[in-house]
Amino acid sequence: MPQKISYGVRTDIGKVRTTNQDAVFSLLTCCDSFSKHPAFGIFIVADGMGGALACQIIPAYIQKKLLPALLTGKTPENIPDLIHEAFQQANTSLLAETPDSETTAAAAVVVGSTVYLGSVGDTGAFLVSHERCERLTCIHDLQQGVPSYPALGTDNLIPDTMVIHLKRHERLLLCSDGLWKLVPEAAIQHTVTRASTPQVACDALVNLANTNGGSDNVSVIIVKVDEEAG
Amino acid sequence: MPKRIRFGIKTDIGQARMNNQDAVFALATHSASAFNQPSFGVFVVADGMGGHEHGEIASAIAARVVADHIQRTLLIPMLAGSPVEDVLEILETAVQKANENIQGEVPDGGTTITFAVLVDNRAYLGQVGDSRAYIISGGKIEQITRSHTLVDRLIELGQLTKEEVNSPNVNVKNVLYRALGQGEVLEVDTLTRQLKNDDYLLLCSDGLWNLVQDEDLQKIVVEASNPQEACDTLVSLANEKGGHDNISVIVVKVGEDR
Repeated sequence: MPQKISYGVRTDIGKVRTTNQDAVFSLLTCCDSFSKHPAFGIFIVADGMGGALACQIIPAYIQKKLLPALLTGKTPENIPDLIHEAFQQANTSLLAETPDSETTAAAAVVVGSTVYLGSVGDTGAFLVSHERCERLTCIHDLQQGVPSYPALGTDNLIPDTMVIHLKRHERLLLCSDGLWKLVPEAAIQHTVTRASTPQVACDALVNLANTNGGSDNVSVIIVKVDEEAG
Repeated sequence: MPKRIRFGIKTDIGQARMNNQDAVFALATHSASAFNQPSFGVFVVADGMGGHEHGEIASAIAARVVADHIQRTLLIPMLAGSPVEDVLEILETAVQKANENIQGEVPDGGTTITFAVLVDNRAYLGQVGDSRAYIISGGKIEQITRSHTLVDRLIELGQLTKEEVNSPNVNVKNVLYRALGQGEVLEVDTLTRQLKNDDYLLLCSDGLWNLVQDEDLQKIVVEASNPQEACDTLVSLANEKGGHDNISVIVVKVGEDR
């Protein structure tokens, strides 16, 4: 097995809210046979009333389109388009089924060590290593101080997509604003780089958000890619 | 709280063979949302046989076709929130499809298959051949699949005891009477079991169970700090004991999300 993906996930109601409206989804596959397969994963954090529906529709769509190709050892080139289509499908369903429920969402499709990221709204995505904690989503909005994030469940939705090559020492972190608004980036970086596993880091970050007030639901997924010797 | 399905997976060529004819596949999902979706898992071990790379092609086809059929008919509907009935029938059809594909693509190749679908704590299993599935629970290990070898059949019929199997006079130990790719009519064993929280499911090829005793399988799995470490240790042990065949193992643990 040339490459493996491992991850941690945690969602928590926080200290103030009476319900947890965050939704998280993870799917991890590993295949090793005569036809060479990359490891494959889907990871989603969504924040809002429509998050549960987004966490059904987006992975089901991506899974349906991608796994048959990956099982034959092929990596399709149009993964960003597929993420785009999956977000559109979730958006259409939300508008039709629950017109009043919007949600933010960040979805990462990981194939081997390549991350295909799609996002709408203020769900955070970070690339974390000892050297840096780099914010990947809603950078412009923060710079301009405009909190008018788009969301699933609104008209004319265009998700941001990007492709990242995740190195062994780097972690991909997805989180709801209940984390990044309460825990400074330096503390996120410190926690993630010192934790023994992604799960330990997720648990520690949720505790930190709750210690800092826990004013919102808090969700976090951390993904790492291992290269296996031999 | 949703359940968490954790798994480890490993396949290794061993010490004696020129190629790895085993194939393994694992998939697990986890979701926490207002919809309270169950966690899903799909786990496959296939052990191919046949020359000219046909053994490894056969096992690869088996793993691919079974995983693909299960995800189309079971996983995607379940991910989308629709209930699925007749899971065991879907498992059986998946094997029949794999059998047809193997006969079409590699007529002289064959393969075993042992696979499991998990919906939270409920396990559904399908089996052809001599790869095995075990449940490790409460300090005990139990083989839950029947091996389709001549020797196991003789034990079932009461014509041979387990003790006699280990005697040097018994030399039909690994003769399979049932495998994928061996004919148009294929009988598939299916079964379902409820796992308790923190039980383990272990799937492996004969390259592991021929060399590592059941009690050692149990001990290593429960003492490992996680399922992947268990798989790595089991494969190392089989290699230390000679590794005369390809070695594949999947260890699955289902439990509370904590």
